Amino acid sequence: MKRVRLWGTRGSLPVALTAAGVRAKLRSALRGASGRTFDSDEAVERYLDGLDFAAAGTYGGHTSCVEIETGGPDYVLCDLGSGARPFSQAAVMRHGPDHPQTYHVFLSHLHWDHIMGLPFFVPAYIPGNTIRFYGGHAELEAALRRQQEKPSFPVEMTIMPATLDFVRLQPGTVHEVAGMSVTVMKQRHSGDSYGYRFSAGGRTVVYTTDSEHRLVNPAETARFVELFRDADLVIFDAMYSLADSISVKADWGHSSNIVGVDLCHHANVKHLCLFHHEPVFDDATIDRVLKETRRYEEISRENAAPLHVSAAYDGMEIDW
Amino acid sequence: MNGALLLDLSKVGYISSVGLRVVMMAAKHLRARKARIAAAALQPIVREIFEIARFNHVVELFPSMDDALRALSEPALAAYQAGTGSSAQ
Repeated sequence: MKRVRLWGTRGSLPVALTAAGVRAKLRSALRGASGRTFDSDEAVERYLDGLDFAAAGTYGGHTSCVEIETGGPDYVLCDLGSGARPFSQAAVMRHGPDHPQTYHVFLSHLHWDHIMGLPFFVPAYIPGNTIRFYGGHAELEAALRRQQEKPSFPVEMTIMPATLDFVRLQPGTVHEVAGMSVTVMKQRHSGDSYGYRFSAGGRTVVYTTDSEHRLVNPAETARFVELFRDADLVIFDAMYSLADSISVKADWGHSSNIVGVDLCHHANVKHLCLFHHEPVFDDATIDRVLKETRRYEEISRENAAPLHVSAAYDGMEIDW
Repeated sequence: MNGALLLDLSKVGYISSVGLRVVMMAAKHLRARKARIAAAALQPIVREIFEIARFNHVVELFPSMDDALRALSEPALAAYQAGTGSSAQ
């Protein structure tokens, strides 16, 4: 396992930076540059590196799609949100149409924001490719076919020339896929969702999104601590504040930054990546949540090892 | 007036997510009775945790018990000051 690349990190619905949002970033950057001189591109880059991420970049707006680069020939993806479209374009650009590939796609669940990228998944339209879908839901294949049926979309899945396989996974089981050991766990979400623990070559990544933690059942908490145990990276649904997730948005199936830190501390995780951002949050709000989460990690650490906390953004790469 | 619950957190040095959940349960219960919930004299770390978890939107926060009681109930303030010898400044 060499790298994790996040192609889509937004929750529920794709969003885009608006013209007003770009202008606000420019205004902030230009104001900060007042009185400075930039005699080279490197000087400009140094200045930009010193700005907050919200001022110089954007967290992006594609829905969930995460690539795990194993170092082997096959591709491994978690979810096919709208981020699957830029992933698929990059993959085809890399190989061209004449070099068939195998794509292993683990689906957390079948809600629209996690499958909406499939109709635009270029490798599915290339003969010789194999797309293997893994998931815990009995309706896995039917849900994917249904979203491309008329009148929802003009190209049905029967048109896709790639070989399409569907693999039903049972919670609590372990599978060997693309050189990795994959553990499956059922999560609390409307209609259920599934979290995945990927381990290979001494590295472990946990992908756990659309998962609500009620904090009332110690046995349930312990199950998640075991799923996360000693992971190098946990990609965690931190869509809401703790207050919202257990009050007005209880039973909406999502979690918080606070619970993410607590679980990761208990499980001796090295890196927590906040994921599935609330679509109404702008970049400055996500920056603020990240800073607060890092502070909470510091406050709550006690005797636990320091936990690195990041906020996922479209295009983010995490290397080892 | 439907009453209020006031938490004196002056001796609380830390609160976990599980502890906050208990506060939320109390808040829901009180809201259903149209009663208020407040907390006073939070140590800086506890106040930070309340704010990071957005519990400052759930619970009314006051710098001191006197401030809280003044906002919630003058009779309770008088009784509290008589009992503790504190004075409302």
